[in-house]
Amino acid sequence: MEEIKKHVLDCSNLNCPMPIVRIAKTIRTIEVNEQIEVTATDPAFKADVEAWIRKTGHLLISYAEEGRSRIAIIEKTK
Amino acid sequence: MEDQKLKEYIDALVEEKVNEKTLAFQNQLENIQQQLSTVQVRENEKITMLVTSFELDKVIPAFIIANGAASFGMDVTLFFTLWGINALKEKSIYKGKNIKEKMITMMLPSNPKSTTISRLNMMGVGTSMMKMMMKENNIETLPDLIDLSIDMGAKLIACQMTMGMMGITTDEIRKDVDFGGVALYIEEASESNITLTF
Repeated sequence: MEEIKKHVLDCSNLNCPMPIVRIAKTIRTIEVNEQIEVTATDPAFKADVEAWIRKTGHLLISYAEEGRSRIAIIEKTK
Repeated sequence: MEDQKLKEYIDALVEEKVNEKTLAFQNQLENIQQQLSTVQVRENEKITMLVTSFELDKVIPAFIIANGAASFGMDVTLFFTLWGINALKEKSIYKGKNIKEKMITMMLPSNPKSTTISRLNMMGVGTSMMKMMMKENNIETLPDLIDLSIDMGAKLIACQMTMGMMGITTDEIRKDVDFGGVALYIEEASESNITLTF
């Protein structure tokens, strides 16, 4: 099986609405089935990224918190 | 023999009627299909905002929501009227204006960078403190949010009546802005899922 291409996006220390804006910008530049690993420290990041996923229809592969960092892996579906 | 003829006659009549009906159904179906295809063309959701204030605490939320909505793939339109126009200004030009227009130009911010907060401004001390706090918290500045919204595909429209009334010329407004009136706003707003006023 072909390895899934994963892009890294660091949104640490960025505030609302920047993490979502950065994700939206990145998703435009990558291919379908590729993934983005986003790291953010915005306290609203979990709620925001989940809402964004629900509305845009892309996939949230995983979400984890390590200290202040929140790490989400998103897969482009279309 | 008579019966045979009658049967043929009835068959022909029935066939004619059936054909007529089928054709009508076919036309109806085509109509519906056409309507469906035009519905599918408008798949993007849309948000329209009316910005009438120029203070940071009004305009920054408008642009944060604009950028957020654009990130959701929505079509974003912001219509700027009255004081809101100041968010779109690049500079102030005094040449060629009458005394009232010069006075109002002098009293209003000449670009989004020099915009103040609506409360606790305290001759600029409050605004400076607020800007410092925003910087410490790494919050985007208003000029950055405006540039970003254009980059994200938002459509900014300046109200021409306000510009005429206050004597604001198109040379004072940034280049990536459209100009229009109430009809343009209503057209955009009537197609929107969300409309907001700031």
